[in-house]
Amino acid sequence: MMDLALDESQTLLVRSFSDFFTKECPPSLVRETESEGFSRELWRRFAEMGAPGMGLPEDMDGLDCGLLELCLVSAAAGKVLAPLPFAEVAAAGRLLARYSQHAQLVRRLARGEALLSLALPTARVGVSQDILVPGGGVADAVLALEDDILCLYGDADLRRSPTPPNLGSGCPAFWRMGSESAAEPIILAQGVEAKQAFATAWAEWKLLTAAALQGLAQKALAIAVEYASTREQFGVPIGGFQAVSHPLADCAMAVEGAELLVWEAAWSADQNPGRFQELCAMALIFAAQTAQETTSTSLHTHGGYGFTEEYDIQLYYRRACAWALQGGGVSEELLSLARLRSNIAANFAAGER
Amino acid sequence: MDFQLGDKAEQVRRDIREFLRREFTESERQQERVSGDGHNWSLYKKLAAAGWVSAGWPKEFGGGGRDPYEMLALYWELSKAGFPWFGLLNNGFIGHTLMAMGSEQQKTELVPRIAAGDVLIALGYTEPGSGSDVAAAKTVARPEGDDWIIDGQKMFTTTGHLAQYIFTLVRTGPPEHKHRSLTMFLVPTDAEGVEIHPIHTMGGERTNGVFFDGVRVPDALRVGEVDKGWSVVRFALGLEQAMGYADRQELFLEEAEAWTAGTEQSGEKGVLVRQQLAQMAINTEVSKLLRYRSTWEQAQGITGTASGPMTKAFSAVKYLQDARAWMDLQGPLAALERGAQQAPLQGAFAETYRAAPVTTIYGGTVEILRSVIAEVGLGLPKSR
Ligand SMILES: Cc1cc2nc3c(=O)[nH]c(=O)nc-3n(C[C@H](O)[C@H](O)[C@H](O)COP(=O)(O)OP(=O)(O)OC[C@H]3O[C@@H](n4cnc5c(N)ncnc54)[C@H](O)[C@@H]3O)c2cc1C
Repeated sequence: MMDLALDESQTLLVRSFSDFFTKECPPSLVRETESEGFSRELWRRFAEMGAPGMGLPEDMDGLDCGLLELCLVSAAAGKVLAPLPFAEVAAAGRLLARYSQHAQLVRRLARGEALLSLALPTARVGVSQDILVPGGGVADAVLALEDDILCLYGDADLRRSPTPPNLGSGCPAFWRMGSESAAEPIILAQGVEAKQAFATAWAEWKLLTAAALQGLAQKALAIAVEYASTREQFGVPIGGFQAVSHPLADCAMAVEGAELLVWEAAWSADQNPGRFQELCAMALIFAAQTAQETTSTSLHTHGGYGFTEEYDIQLYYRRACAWALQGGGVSEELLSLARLRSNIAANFAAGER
Repeated sequence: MDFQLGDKAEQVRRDIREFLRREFTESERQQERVSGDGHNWSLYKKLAAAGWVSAGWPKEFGGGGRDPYEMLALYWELSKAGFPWFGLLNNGFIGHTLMAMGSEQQKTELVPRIAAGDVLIALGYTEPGSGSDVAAAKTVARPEGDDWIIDGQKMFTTTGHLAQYIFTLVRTGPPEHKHRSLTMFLVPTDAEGVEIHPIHTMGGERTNGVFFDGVRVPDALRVGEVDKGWSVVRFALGLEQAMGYADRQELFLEEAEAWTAGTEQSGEKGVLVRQQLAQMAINTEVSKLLRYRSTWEQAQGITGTASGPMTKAFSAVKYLQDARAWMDLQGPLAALERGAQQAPLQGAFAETYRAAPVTTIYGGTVEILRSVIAEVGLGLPKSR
């Protein structure tokens, strides 16, 4: 029977991570880390909360939490723009944990001692061997699908570029794939199994990134509402003008819709697996659109002040775009969603016959 | 967390699909296309006989005691099938309102007759001078003995020409008291002084203008207390706004997918078509989820949120956007309508293009809904 509420432990989880981030990740920290896009100190404390290992198996020092729980943490991180590659470490870690010979590295991930990311084929630079890896600037290793071979690339120092200056002040970096630049990658799996495992991890990354973008959008909306309620022009709060409030109402619908979509996708992993990848793609696209629209509207609500570095909203506006682009961007994702849906329809039709 | 409507609702879905397959024949469809009535007495009687008219009402009122998820499944399938269902919908809203706010006599005499499928009631809120500002109604009722005499005019009274009563919002005190001088009456359409004129719409629905000229109505047909009509309207409108159009979006998505599959879109155009298909699938999914949440809140007894208006506004805006986008993607043939042999899917796209705009207007325009969301959902100052 339908139940759209978080349960008690999920509510508690949200509360403890909101408290954590409010205390540990104020806007001043986000500003201080703009050039590196990563705070090692925050990551250490985050690891003390057990967060990097939340989605990993218990026998590899993880907490065996579900995807919904991971989404809640990711959304909480998104709200404060936490400079942490959580979606990457969580999704890549869960993929690596399928291969017990690498339990050692998985345990280090769970303790926050190592970082891992995914090389997404949609972020390849032209036809080169270089892929712009989200969180790649701080990752110790990267998982990639080369044709139908699932590879673990280590040798971080030999393979990765420094983090290039970027709009979202994140920590992406180019990783050179193939065996030319460094030692051979480690092969984890091959064939259909490798493809499926990678596709699942990619979908999980989309979902967690969607959750972060949704959290970002929710906070950007709250910032705008607060500003519109206090800033006065013509003798009244600007939130009383429909030209200000109606666009914010549109953002509110989208923000709540995006949250429901993220939750539905997370729920479907176990309860409706046939739609999982599709719903993750939907969640990422819709959360990206929502975050971009909401931050843009929110910035505009601030008038000239929103354009100044002093106000936080510009931090949200830049990341809403940059985070959404890491995996290829909305147009690219729409095409992949269309492909996915027509494959599902074709398989369904074939099964009917 | 659970996103399923549940087994009982899925059973309702199967049952109503079976009903539609059996009863909603091509000739009935054609009849609705021609008349635009939004209500078909013979089909309606069959729905009533099968218990669907009062399915969502509590058992103590002779209803089916169906839960909100079962009702969602029922409405979803009827709407998706293009069933002429305005009578059913309005009776549902009004039935609930009478059970919550009606007199003992209305509860014991009128409600069972609605349930039996014998009575149809149309919504008479809108007037020529008051639409969004419903509470500015000018139609007046003045007491005379035990009766009331009603004068004025209603506008867009859909199904009024088939109904026995019009759920009529009237002024019973000084206009400057606005919300505090309104009263709700059930005005019999066969009473002397009631005149009903057809109004035809671009979407094919027929609606009506209704004139009241010295219409005598017994006090027993008053719903709620004198001057408390506003709370009655608010209650009934709240039920209406929590639904939205995800069901019609789902149908439209299926039509667009069928067209795409049948015409093998490729090349540059194919890219645009696939992107639009994906966007539309997302719009439909989110509209569905917002509706699920309104329904879930209803089932949980959660009130005071902006979920209802969000459900209606989001889905209406997206439905209209998608309707326009598909016309452009298909090019000249999309403008062909039923009857033209080359019309894609027998003119389904042009039909949607005609039908979609009204979803952003009736039952509260999206502007009014946005204001409610800004006030109730975001706590911003009132802007109307
Ligand atoms: C096919 C159809 C069926 C209908 N069926 C029924 C029915 O059965 N019963 C019934 O009672 N009514 C019915 N309606 C009426 C419908 O509810 C009204 O049309 C609607 O509420 C808008 O009122 P209006 O047409 O007077 O427009 P107006 O209120 O004049 O609005 C005109 C425009 O101004 C905007 N506007 C108005 N006020 C504000 C404001 N404060 N802030 C911002 N924007 C504003 C509106 O959003 C709209 O875009 C029906 C309408 C149609 C078209």
